[in-house]
Amino acid sequence: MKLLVNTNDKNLDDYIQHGIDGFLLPLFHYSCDYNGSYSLDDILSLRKKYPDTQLFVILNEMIFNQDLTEVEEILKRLDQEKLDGILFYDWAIYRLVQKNNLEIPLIFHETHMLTNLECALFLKDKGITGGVLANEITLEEIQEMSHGKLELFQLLLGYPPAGVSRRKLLTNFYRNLKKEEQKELKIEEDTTKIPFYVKETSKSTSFLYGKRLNLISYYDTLNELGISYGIIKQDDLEKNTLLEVVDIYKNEKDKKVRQEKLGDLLGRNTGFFQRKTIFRVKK
Amino acid sequence: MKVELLAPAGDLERLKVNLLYGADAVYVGGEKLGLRANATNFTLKELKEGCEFAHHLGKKVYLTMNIVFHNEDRKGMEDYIKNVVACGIDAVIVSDFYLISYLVKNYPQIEVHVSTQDSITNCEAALFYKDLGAKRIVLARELSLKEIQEIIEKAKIDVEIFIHGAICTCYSGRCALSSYVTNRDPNRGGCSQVCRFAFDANETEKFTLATKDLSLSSSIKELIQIGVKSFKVEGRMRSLYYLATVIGAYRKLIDAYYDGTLNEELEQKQAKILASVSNRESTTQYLFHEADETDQYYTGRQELSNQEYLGQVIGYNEENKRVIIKERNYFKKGDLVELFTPSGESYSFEIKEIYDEKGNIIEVARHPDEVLELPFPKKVQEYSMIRKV
Repeated sequence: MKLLVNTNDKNLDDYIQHGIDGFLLPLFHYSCDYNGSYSLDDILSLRKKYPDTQLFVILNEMIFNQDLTEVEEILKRLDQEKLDGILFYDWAIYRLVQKNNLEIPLIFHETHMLTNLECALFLKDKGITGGVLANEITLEEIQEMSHGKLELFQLLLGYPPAGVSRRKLLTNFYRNLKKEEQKELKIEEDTTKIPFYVKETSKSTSFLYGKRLNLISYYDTLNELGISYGIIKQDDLEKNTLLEVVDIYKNEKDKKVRQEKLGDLLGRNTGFFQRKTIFRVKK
Repeated sequence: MKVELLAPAGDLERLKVNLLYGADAVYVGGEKLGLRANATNFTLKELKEGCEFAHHLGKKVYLTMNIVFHNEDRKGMEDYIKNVVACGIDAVIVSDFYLISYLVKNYPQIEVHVSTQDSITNCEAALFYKDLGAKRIVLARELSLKEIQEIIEKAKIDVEIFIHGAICTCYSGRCALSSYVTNRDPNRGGCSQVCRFAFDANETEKFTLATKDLSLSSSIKELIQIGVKSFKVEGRMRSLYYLATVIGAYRKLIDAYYDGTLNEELEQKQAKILASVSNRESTTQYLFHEADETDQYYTGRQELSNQEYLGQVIGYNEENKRVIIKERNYFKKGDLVELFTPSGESYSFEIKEIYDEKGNIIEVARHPDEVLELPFPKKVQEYSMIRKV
């Protein structure tokens, strides 16, 4: 499994030195749920600077008619400069890539939707290279999906995305309070005290589940299943901590020590890996 | 051809009421694969009866199969589809790409409608689903009139939009808040409506993200003129009275547009009727501006109880010239009420006498579900209703 980092940092040297395989670069105005944001020029500069490192561009915002022309031009540039792939949510991206005969690989990233084998097979059949697994499925379900020949991406560490709204929820909240607007806020559900991070961008508001996912204990299993890429999100980690995480993943050979170290550092939330969600609450 | 009025039916009785009150089609959930796993939903027998009832009136039934599939949901899927198609459904509302392709290939006789779960927000995405073979798309609820118009013009695919009812805070399909707070998967029908919960933002402030409801009753004309094919009302778990009132109001507005009598006065009158059954405030949300702080709530839950609905007509006592009703809410002698029928007639009168089941005169009706009789000069249709004015 190759490791991809999503960081706020625009200088990637240190991560590469620590052995990271590639990066997820959220494109300004057209991405959400991730850390940092890079302009098209930033991304193209990084491509030039790091020609041998895998650079994937995140373009997972909802696209509207008024965005299409600009998005089409962006896709052409990313293709021309040989970026390693685009993580997309909106099928408009797929259509525009097809229409322009672009060769840039597409990675399906409808956040909560890649949940079953037939979906993976459908994507492969459409010429999609890979897909980011939904965080709300179990390990058993992933095992079944690993037969789909699609390159699978799995969030290994970070706050999982829990929702996106077109509404400017923080702007609206502060306006209503007649207070200065903020673009980030930590909230807790009233009774359960379950935390979420709320982040507003130019196009939307995202909710990230505030208990960091840490799948280090499943790293070997996911490797054995043939998961192609593991994603590590920086979120609120200091750079040094993030590098420490990278070191544990890349250099710590002893499985138990690896788990203990990272567990002690960042918690042991394994999300829905062994916990099925329910949907029927009465007979 | 008139724009379609599409109503939500949680069970067979709601299906009948919707169609009698003027819906052109209803959407229902079956025993599997729908996004209202906790609603009553239709057995195969009920689905068949519902389709026969609808087809007899020249109307249609659409079945929702719009969950986000997990591997285990595929088990029995093919047999289930074979059975529901045999019941006579006219279309399936789907979210899953594989299922869209499967239905298009194997059941060309039924239409495939793409669910709002797929949050289609632009014409290229619309064309993707058209290429897959979908006949209709249900657009994301976050679009402006202009954005809807452009999709219709450029994608040239039948477009359905939500015109009335509760809406989500997040994009449909792009929300798992319920999974994280209550372990209930919203994308498989278990949504616990976490967007209506309150959150602590700090020691003193509450963060809420709940939206007001959607109502586009005053924009019927514009929406018909840009070429929307179907107007969808939300609420498979709503009451009979709510559905009768909402569907009746939109039927009047749509018919008035086509016969040239739609005017501000009628719009205002129907808006007032719609507001009377709503348990939240409503706005036009994204239709004319980016939804902002005026389209949301900031003080926790804002639901109001509604006690205007007094009873449903279940028969007529020819001998004594009285309507027989099943009581729903408290009323008393002297109250001014309106009796309205599925075909759109309306009669206002004062309750002069109330008779209980044994024929005794009573002053006050205070027991929901009690069968009562009220003097009324003529027989009216089954499923007529009485409300306070």
